[in-house]
Amino acid sequence: MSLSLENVTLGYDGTVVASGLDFVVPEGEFTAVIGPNGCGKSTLLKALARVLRPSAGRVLLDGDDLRSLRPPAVARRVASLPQHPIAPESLRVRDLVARGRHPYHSLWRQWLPGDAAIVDAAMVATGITDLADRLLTDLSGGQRQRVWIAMVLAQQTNYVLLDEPTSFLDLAHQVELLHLCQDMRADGRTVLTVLHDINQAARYASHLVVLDRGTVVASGEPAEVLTTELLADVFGVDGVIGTDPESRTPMVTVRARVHPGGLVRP
Amino acid sequence: MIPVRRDAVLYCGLTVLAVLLASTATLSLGRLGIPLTELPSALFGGAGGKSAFVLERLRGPRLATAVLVGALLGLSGTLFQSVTRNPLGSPDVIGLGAGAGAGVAVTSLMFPGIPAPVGAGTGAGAATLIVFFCTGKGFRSPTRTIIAGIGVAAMAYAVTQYVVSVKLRDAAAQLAAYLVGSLNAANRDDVLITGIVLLVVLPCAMTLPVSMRLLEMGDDTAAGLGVDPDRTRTAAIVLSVIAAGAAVAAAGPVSFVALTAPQIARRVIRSSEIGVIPAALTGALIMVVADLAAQQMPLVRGLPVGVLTLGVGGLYLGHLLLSEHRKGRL
Repeated sequence: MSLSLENVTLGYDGTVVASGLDFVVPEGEFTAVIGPNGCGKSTLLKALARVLRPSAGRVLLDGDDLRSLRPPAVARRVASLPQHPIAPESLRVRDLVARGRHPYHSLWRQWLPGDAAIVDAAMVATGITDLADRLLTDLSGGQRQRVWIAMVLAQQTNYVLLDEPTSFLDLAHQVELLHLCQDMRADGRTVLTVLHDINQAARYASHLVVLDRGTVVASGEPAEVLTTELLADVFGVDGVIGTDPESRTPMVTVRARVHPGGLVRP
Repeated sequence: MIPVRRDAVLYCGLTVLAVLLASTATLSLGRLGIPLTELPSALFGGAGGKSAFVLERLRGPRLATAVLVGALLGLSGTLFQSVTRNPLGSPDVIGLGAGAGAGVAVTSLMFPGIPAPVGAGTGAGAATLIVFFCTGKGFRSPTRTIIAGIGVAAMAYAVTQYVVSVKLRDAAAQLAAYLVGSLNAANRDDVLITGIVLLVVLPCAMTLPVSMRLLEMGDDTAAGLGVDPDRTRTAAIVLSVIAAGAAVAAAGPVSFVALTAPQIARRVIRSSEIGVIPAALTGALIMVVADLAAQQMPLVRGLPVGVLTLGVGGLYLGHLLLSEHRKGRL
């Protein structure tokens, strides 16, 4: 199995975010994509999820161009969640999770025999079984995010792409969500997320991809990728790389910004 | 699991019953009415004479047109509202009715030989095409579609007003009746056109709600689940426009049915689901009852049916605006 970008140009309405970009989603890993604002993290994810069409180049899923595949066929192998999914009014949690089964349905079969069990399992895995009959709009941000993840799980895909799944969550829910990502990986899925917090990325993800101005500048295990040079070049900060006392993963502490007056780019 | 909701089924059953009752009243009330005792035999081809004439020539086609036009408008409105996520949306908003009016006005002035439905259909089609090309994105962006529609509608009204003001007075009065939507001239051709369009559009429309429901979660989320947002939206608006266009060609731009029918159905069933059939049935009921009133009720007797739907719809729109305002959504 493989999901990759081949020499793609990505952008919106004429603004190019990345051009000539090659990228292979690290198979079987929980990968965190990090990088400064506007470097193209979300754009990369959208291209892989078939949400954004590259203006040049191809996105390949198991060797096939994503555009040559029918949308449901892609959605059976790649699940994606945008940064701000909209919670429909008067929809119950269970019904939302059940929407993850949509790619498997046809016009004539809107429900399959195994669906109920898959939906239940997804709710158990995300710890939302108790919320099954609640209205989505009545839930807290943290609960709601778990419901969205359950929907993605019910999709039963090999690839799970999440765009900043921890934003707007409090610390406990952030950690909870990152553990869920680890669980998905342990379950055999390939997880790719955009994360903002470098330390969380280094601690929970098994693989880091650093994106800068539309180019992949580093990729590998957190301990290999995070260097003081990278912090200066990409993030514009003078940082020290220590070790997380709990997990023994790299931990970044910022001393100062590199360029007084802001991030200066050649 | 995907449940056919009991409430929805009950609602549809009751609406069908109400349509049947109102239809019976339409056929049997008044001086020319077919007596109730003769109605079954007249319907199944046994009666002759006056009853057959009333059924086949006078009230039958008019009633059938009312039902079909109403169903088309209800269907059209529910697709349009779901796709624009706007309870005040309806094909009227994109200048369809106004275009039809302008089409009739212009043809009656310049080519008096052409029947009004042809003029209406052409005008509605032209208005829709102008909107489609003005947005630069087709019907993919609901906001742009509505803004372009308002502009096209304004221009179409200007054309209509121009024609009305240069025309002779009695011809203008006739035209005016058509411009608000009327079933006075409904005949078998209208039944045929609207019937065929409904037969084609309804099954197509029933395939859309599943995808449209997923679009409520945002385009990117829906795309992640294998829905093509642009294609779904375009399909819904095109079907909505075809349905409304056929209705307009048969009865003129009848106001507010497309707007109110889906809202009434949704509120009564209390569901967030997009019900194509409940909305179509509700539209049919509104039209039949409005036309029954236009035929039999003192005070409003003889008025074009569009005036009645305008009055009732206006009240309902006011109520809707007030309740949305109270909820703080406007």
